[in-house]
This record gives sequence, structure tokens and C-alpha cells, in this order.
Amino acid sequence: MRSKDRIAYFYDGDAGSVYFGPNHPMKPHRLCMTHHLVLSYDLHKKMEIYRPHKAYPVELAQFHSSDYVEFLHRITPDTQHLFTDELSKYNLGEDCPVFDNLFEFCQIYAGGTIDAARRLNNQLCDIAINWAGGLHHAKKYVHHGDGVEEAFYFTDRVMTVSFHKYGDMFFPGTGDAKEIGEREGKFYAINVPLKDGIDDSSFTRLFKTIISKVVETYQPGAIVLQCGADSLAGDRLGCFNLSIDGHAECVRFVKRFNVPLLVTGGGGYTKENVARCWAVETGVLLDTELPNEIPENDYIKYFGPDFSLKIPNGHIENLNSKSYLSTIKMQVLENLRSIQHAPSVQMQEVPPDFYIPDLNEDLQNPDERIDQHTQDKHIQRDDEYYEGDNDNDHQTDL
Amino acid sequence: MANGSSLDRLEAETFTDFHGNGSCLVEDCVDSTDHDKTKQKSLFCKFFSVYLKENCSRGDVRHVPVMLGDGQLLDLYQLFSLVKKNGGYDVVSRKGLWDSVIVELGLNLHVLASVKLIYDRYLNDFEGWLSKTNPKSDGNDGEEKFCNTDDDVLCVEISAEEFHSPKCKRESLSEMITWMRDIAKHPFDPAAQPLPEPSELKGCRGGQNFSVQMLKARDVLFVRKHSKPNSGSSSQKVKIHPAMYEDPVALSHQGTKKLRCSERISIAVKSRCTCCNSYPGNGHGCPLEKPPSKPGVTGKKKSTAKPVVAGKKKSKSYWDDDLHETLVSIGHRFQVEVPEWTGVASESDSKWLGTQVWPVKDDDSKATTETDLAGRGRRGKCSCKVQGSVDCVRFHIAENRMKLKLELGYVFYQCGFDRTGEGVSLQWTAEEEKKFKDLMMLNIPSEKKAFWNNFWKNTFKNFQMKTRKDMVNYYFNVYLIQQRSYQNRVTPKDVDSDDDGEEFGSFGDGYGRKAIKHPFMEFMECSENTQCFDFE
Repeated sequence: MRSKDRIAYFYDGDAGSVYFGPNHPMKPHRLCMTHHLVLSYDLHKKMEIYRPHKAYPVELAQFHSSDYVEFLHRITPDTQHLFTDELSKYNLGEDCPVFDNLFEFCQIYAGGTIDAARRLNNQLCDIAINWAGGLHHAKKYVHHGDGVEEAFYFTDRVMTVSFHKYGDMFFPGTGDAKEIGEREGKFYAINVPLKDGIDDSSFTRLFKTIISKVVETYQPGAIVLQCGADSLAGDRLGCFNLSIDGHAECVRFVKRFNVPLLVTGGGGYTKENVARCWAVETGVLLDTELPNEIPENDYIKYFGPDFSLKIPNGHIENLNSKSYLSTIKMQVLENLRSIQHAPSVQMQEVPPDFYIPDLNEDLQNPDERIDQHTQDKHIQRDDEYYEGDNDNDHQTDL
Repeated sequence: MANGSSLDRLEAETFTDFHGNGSCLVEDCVDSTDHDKTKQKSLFCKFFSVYLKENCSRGDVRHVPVMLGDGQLLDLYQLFSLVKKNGGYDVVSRKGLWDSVIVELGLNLHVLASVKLIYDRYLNDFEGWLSKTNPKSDGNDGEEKFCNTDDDVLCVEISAEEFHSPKCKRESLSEMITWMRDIAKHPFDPAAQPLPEPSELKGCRGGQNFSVQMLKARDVLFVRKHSKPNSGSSSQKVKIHPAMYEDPVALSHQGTKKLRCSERISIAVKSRCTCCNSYPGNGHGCPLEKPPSKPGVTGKKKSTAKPVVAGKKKSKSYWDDDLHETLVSIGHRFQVEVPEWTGVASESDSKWLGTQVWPVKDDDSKATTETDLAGRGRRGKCSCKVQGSVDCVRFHIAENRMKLKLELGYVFYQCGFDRTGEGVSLQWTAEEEKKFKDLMMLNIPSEKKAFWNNFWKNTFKNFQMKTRKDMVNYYFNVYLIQQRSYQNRVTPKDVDSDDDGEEFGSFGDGYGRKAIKHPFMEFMECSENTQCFDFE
């Protein structure tokens, strides 16, 4: 580990007052709860806090189509009945409802990630955190589907890696292991489909194996880590069985690569667990282990009756058999063999599977940055569920 | 004529082979025990495609596969046979049997009107066409024959009419068709055979056009589009490109007329606008799809704007034998443009990098000495009279809040902490609070939605002074907190802050003045409370 990582943490106080509407599972108030926990544990003493600028429409239009952005900017709940065609065109309505300050919310979370990325690019920090970000389904024209992966599907400049539930027509329905990218981007998209109930040991083992191979092969100049918390046990929409420790273990693992790291939020529909998870992970990024007893704060009642950082185990069956996971792993590793090693990489001895050695600090010069040639390469990880009401248990009924 | 039956077998075989995986129109996998049904299905598909082709050539467009408004795909064959079984469209309508038809199809009753309409548009006309095509029989017999297992007569007739072609065409076309089938099965196989030379087809009329069509079909098969089920639709999983429904049986059959093939492919190029799951040409104004060109009549095709074509890639996962397709959009409209790295980071102006709020710039010394104190948890013991009581908890929350405020200073407000906490309720009158609670208790989703979205319309006059932000703040900081407090103490095993409509009691008499009661003393204002919330 480097002697001292500079951590930049982005937060906009207006995020907490965003409300999607009754019965909608996405609750931005979880960001406010996370922030309260982070401050209650005095983690602000070890990092810098920034208020991001709200992204301008033209910035959003750098990816999304300008008419989509414009529409989001102008639509309000009062006027939406006049625009039923556009609503269906952009896939807004029930699952993605129109609510007051919808656009402002988009500006907040996009602005946070943009500012975080800039800060990393300018080498002003080593790790940047934007828990409001990581909402990755919007595509260029519509809000639906696996937008980020699609955006970079044809390029090798960005490698996307996604760990997610797949099958049983679970939203969004994509993410089969066969989706590996196309054309120049072939083999630069990795999808790891999983079944219900995966637990800490299975998941972390698979995650570490794959991610270490990816980093070794692709040698990214920066990593964007999306920490969707709907993979936690007890999530309102999700169906995995990870504990907070297991989830945070993955964050700890990625941090150890000492690559410029942008950490974002993502899904997560049981807001207390989301707040716990992201507070713990903030601690991990700051090399601080948080004691389980949550200090008193305005929201402590949400964490009852135990007021602890631990969440109960899901007690669900792990449908991911050893052989299944092994098959996926082999498939992914084989695809990775097809990628040429980056030219500046020294050939190193590949450790055997499941053994991840600690990085030797002496070999790394903390002042040296990855060379510019690879600076723009990113990998991104997801391990979350997607918003949507295609969950078997919870039919949102608006 | 003699090989009518072998024809049939070949057709059925090829058809099933081609469509065996995930085809929606022929819903079930080939069931060898139900050979008759399969035959009928394949016949239906065959005839229907011919019907489509003919109608399209008249400029009358029918799109397949058929989709209902909520994104579910409709099996036309099943619908057709069910209605026929019940006596035909008129009988079913008269007797009100549509409900049972819908139920048998496994659909929701609310699509009844759509299904009826679809039947009317697609299948009524088809029936008429069927009877016209079989002059030997009147309308009903035609259907009977169709539903019969005695298929040879019909298919022989069709073959006599449509499949006549000179030998040379047959051979080169079959080669072409074999190639196309291979491509369709393994579209991304780098070892795929290259396209047969167009020159081989020169001898045949319009051979070059045909190869152009083949190329277009291959493009269509290569292109993938991400499928987007509408929310709430759980059954929509499989999407088939219309090209898949063009009858490959006819294509593979010896001596198929080339003109017919090219027209079929022209239908395939027209695509469904998957972003809104509706068909173009209905005036829905989707930006992705320019109005499709009219299907060519002669087989000459101009390439239309083709960025959005619903293509299909068959993929089979190794571990569960569920077969499915995946579709990813391509084109400049879907992928991002990754600019080259110039070596210079853009935007190093501080306003684009976030405004630092902590640590406060001129106070570095204070920040660094306290880093070791980060990460402390809740103290085990406190000096309150009754540990863990409502008052004890409130006291400690307020205490910590004070500490944080003193430490952060201005940043406390920047983080929005002035708007959090149960103290928000101090800005509400008791009456307002009660009204709010009553409203939340109403378990009528539409009213609640109206409440949150429309309150600018002054529906609730008693909340006139409150902005939407105030309401949301109150909801998360007071209302839900109270609900959770109650749950924590009364139903600790059943805690949930997401269910709004649950009834709950309260602990203590609210916040503020009334919270602290002492039987013998005059009420004394709690200095903690006033200090915390006097920042207005």
C-alpha cells in the first residue's frame, strides 16, 4: 500500500431530498444516510470532501443524445400527460418515473462522477468516491438496459467487467457470458452471469481470480469500480447473499492494485444496508476498519434494532454450484487469453489460481504514474442488480 | 407431384431445424410425439409467409412477429387454431368466447382487445386468402384441409404454382441458400464460407440482385440490437428478427423462384423500432427509425437508413439449456465516441473539479492531528439516568450533532445537515403533522402519487406553506424515523422503512417542548434543543 492515499469524496446535500415517488424502490435518501454514517464515524478526518458542480446539459450530451437530455430537462410530473409518445420513446413512465427535480438529480450524480474523473486525471487524488453515481442503465437515447457496456462495446479502449444475476428473465435480460464485445472491442467486455444466492466465499474467490487476470492482462490506467449494493443479502430487489464484509472485501482487493480508482455507488434498494455497506467501504478505502456499533446520529433509528453495521445472513440457497462457477471462470479466462498484452507490460509469472499474493510495495514507485499511453483505459466492475420491477417478489404497482 | 410427401418432410425438417431454437411463432420445440401438430404448425407458417409476401407486394404491410402492447409476443398459429376450434372469428365474437381464448393462450385479459384486433387484421384476411388460393374448396374446407393431417394435396398445389423454376437457378440458388443457412446458424464464425460468387448467378435472371439481397440479409443477421422489454413485461425474453420468419423452407427448396426470395428479404430489412416496441409508420415519431421504404416489387433494393435494425444473435449458454438471444445496438447512435488521449488532462480549472468543502483550507493543523480519532464507534456506556431510553437516545443524538456542527462549521450547512434530524418537525404544526400522517396511512397508491406530484396545485391547502423539499425532508427525517422507532421497540424482528402504509404508534409525545415532561417542575426549555435548531 502506498504510504498515504489521497481520497476525494464527493457529496451534494441536495441529493437527500430527491424522491422518486411512493413505492418506488430507488431512494436517493440512502445517500444522505450514507453521508451521515461516514461523518458519524469521523471518516471526514481522513479525506477531502468536495461538492461537485451540477453537470450542465451539454456535458450530459457528450454521451446521451441532446434531445433525450432536453426532454429530461423539461419534463415535469404536471406536464407528462401531454408527452405520452416521448415518454414511451425514452422509456420513462412507471419504472423510471417523472418526478420533481428529476433532472437536478441527474445533474448531481453525473456531475459528481465527472468531477471525480477530472480530479483523477489531473492527479490531484488517488481515489475518488461518488456514491451518488454508478447508475449505469441509461443508454444514449433511453433509460433502460446495460448502457455503459453497450457504449463501449466496440472499443478496446475501455474494458467492462460485470458480475450480475442473470437468468429467469431478470432485468435487463442481457449479460450472458457470450457477450464479449464486437469488432475492435471483442474480448473487451466481460460478463459473469450468476445465479441466486451467491455467498461471500464463492463470490470473492471468483471476483479476485477474474479481476486479477483482467488487470494483469489489460493493464488499465484507471479503474472505475461500481459498487452496487443490491448484491447484499436482504436487498429488496436483489437475490444474492453477500454480507457487507464480503462486498467490502472486493473493494479492498481492487484498491490494492494501486491504480487510480473512481468508486461509485449503483443499485441498492434496502437503504439501511446500502448506507452500512458504503460507509464500511469508505472506511476500507481509507484503511480504517469501522467498529460495528453505530454512533448516535440523526438516522440511527434506521439501523435498529441492533444499531450495528452487520446485516443478517439471507439464509437462501446458493444456486451457484462449484462446477458452474468453475465453468464460467474457465470461459472468462480463456477469453482473456485472446487479448494481446499491453506493450509496456513485463511478462511476469502468473500465480496459480486462487492465490493472490500481496503486492510488494518496494517494487512500486509511488510517484510514477501509469504511462499516458494506457491512461485512458478503464475497467469497470459491476456487481449489482438492475433497477426494474421484473423481480419475482416485488411487483411495483404504481 | 410424386415427391409431394418427401417435399413435405424436407420442408418440415428444414423449417424446424432452422427455427428449433427459440422461435416464437412455432412456440414449442419439435415434439416428435406430436408430429401432426408440428406439421400443421409448419404449414401454417409456410402459408402465412406466402400470404404475407403477396400482401406486402400489394403495398399492404403486415409485420411479424406480432407483439402486444405490453411487449409480449403472440403466437399466431396458436391463436388461429384456437379460434378455429371454437368456430371461427364471428362465432367467437358472438358467443363472447374471447376470454377463454385469451386464457388458453396464457395471456392477460387486458390484451383481449388487441388480440381481437390482431386476429381481424392478420388472420381474417389470411383465411380469405387461403380459400382463394384453393379454388377446389370453399373457405371452410380450405381451413379444414389446412388443419388436416392430409397435407400433401395442398402443398403440392402450392409447389406447382410457386416453385417452378429452371434447373440452373435451382442449383446455384440452393448453394446460395446453404451458405445463408450456415451463416444464420453461425453468424460470427470466422471460418464461415465466403459468399458464393455472384458471377455464378449471372446466368440466372436477376442473380446479382439476389446476391445483393443475400448480403443485406447477412448484415441483418450480424447486426444486433439490444432488446428492451417494457417494464412489467416478464415474458418478453426472446426476440426474433422478422428475417427469421421468412420461410427458409421455400428458400432451401429446390427451384425456388429467386424473385420471391428477394422480396422476402426486403421485408426482413424493414425493422421494428425496438426502442418503443412499436412498428414504424404509426406516427410515433421515434428518432431511431426513419420511415421504412416500401417493399420493392421487382427485387431491386435501395438501401434505406439502416442504423437500427433488429438483428439477432443466437447464443446458447453452456450451463443452462435455456436458449435465448441477445441483442446489442450498434451504430453511432448507441456507442460512445472515445476520443484519443492527447496526453493533457482537460479542464484543470478548479470549478470543474468540485469545490472543496472539507477540510477547510486555512485549518490544516486541526485536521491532521485528529486523523487517529477517525472510526470510533458508539460508546458502550453513558451517564444518562436510564440508558437506552427515548430521552437518552435523543440526548446523545443531539450531543453528537452539536459536536459535528462545531467541528464542521459552515460545512455543516453545506452538507445539508441543517435540514436533517427529527428537529425538522419543529417547523411543523401539530395539525400539519397529523394531516401528513393521515395521508400516509391512506393505502391508495394513486392518491399518494397525486399527493407527491401534484401538490403544487394546492390540493392540500393545509400544506400551503410547505415546499416539496420540506415534505420530503419531513418524510425521511421525522415520519419514517418515528415509524422505525416504533418498530425497533415494538416489533424488532419486523423492521421495514419502506412500507409507508403501516400503522404505528409513537414513543414520547413528539419532539421539542412536549417531549420532556416532569410532573413536579415547571417546564424548562431544553437548551440543547433550542441551540441545535436556531439557525433559521
